[in-house]
Amino acid sequence: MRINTKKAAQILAKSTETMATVLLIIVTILNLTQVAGRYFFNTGFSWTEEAMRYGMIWLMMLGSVACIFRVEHMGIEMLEQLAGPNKARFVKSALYSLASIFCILILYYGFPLALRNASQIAPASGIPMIYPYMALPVGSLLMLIQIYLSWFSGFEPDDEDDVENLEDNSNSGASR
Amino acid sequence: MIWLAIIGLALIFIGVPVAFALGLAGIFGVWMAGVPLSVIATRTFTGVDSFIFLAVPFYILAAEIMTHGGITARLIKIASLATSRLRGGTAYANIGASVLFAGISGSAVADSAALGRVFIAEMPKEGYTKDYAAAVTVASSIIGPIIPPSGLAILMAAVSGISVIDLFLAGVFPGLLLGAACATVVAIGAFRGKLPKPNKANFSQDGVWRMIAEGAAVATLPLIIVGGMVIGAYTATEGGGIAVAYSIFLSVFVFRALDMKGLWRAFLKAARISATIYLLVAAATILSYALNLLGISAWVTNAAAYFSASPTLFLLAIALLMLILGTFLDIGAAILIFVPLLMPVVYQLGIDPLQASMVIMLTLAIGLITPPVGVVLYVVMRVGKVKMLPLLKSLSPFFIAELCAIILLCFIPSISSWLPATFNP
Repeated sequence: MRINTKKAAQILAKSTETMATVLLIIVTILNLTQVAGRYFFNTGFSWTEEAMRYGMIWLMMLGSVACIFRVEHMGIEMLEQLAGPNKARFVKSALYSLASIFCILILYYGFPLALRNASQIAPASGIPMIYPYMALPVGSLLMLIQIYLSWFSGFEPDDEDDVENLEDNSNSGASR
Repeated sequence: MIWLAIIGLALIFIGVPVAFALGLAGIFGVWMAGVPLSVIATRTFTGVDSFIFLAVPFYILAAEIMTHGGITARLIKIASLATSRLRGGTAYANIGASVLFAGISGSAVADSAALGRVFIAEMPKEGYTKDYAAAVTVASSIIGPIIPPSGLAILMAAVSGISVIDLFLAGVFPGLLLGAACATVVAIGAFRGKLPKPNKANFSQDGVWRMIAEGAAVATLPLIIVGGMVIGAYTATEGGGIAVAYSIFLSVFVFRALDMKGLWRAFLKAARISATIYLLVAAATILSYALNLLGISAWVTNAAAYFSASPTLFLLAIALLMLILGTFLDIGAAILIFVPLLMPVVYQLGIDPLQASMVIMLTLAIGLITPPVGVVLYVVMRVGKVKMLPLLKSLSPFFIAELCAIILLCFIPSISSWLPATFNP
């Protein structure tokens, strides 16, 4: 049972982060297309900007799912260190269960929001607004699943690609 | 409002991941204000649906590619070359490398991890204590988010309405000032004869020119980005895309230090980091909205009335507040929540908004190297295998020097405003 949930948690993390990475590649290409388009073809592609913004919202939700499994969302780890190695996973589970309330609320209010915007269309790109808005409920649902799977698997990311993870376990990035 | 603060802080302190803690506190605030909760989904969405903010992932990505693409080693070589004759030379090189590194990355964590791994291993071989080596790395790493390109500056621009270019330019001198503050501490130590000289054997004269050429190629990146933005060739977000393209070009084709697999890993890492930052920003937006509903801005304006006689005193007060907030609150979240509240007062008191931004950014950055939530401290403790207390002891003179730099920044507006006023009037 535990092996299976661990496997499932891992598969969910791997697939969401792969999707997030592909999105980042697409967004990067769109960004460069926008500059190139303006200089070489004299046309600003106004739709690229919208597409990038919406892509990043999907990236945020999908990437956050994987970061739950990899315990990369920043937080104070004092309590679980006090609890000691044996009880740390229960502390972690309890803390993430609190966090899951946030996901539940975003899911609960995000879904009707997406449906309400179903008939709207983004001005420049013509993307139906339901696609970007769906990122919230879909992403938070996946986050919930990930939290509950990790509950059973014990919030222990496997170490297969931790060789270079020393530097970055949690929180590098722009703002820090 | 007191309850909101208590709940938010309690959630953060027991260890709920910060993004979720801020979101929950925000939702509680919206509920307290009696506004329908359906608004939280809209806020989450609009909070991150911004073109300026879109620049952040690109700079993360560029830094990620550069650090795994053999750039760090080259920056360190260049910095060591310049300081190889001085007593305490390698400590200076550590600071110098941080300044150069700041030009490709906007992140203190990336800086401390990449440089710490090298310097904390090498400096003890020359006779420094390990704690001292770690302290120099920690102290100089916060130059990273100040010197452009800087993720903090982008965030600041997104919430304050100040242009990214101005904030990038404004960060150059305060960043160098931080570097000078650290260097002063090293110089005092060297003067008292406490620091060793670099090991001459480590520097062969072969390939110096190649080294300089490669270093120059790396150091060109910030010039390309900021220069292009100043002449109006592209926006900050597009500049980020160009930074990514340039870093791929350098590490994959010129230095050949990164293969396709490495490149994919860099994208993967950058995607995950961006996701956590985006989520944090989205959650902080809810909290910031809740605070506004509960009337915090009136409260801040009232408090500011006490400072109308002395704007400098207000800046010092902001610095103190941010120093305290920075010790436990994430730096991005602090900017999102407090800058929109403080900026109207800054304008009202006639303070240069660029100066205020720099004071806020620097003081919050110091929060990265102070417990309990000093992200950089933890990274360096892990990378360098040093303990918290001896590290803090070695760090304290640097800490004091950096506080002096901030006080200087509060009193002299032109440190922040001269460069933007000259190049981007």
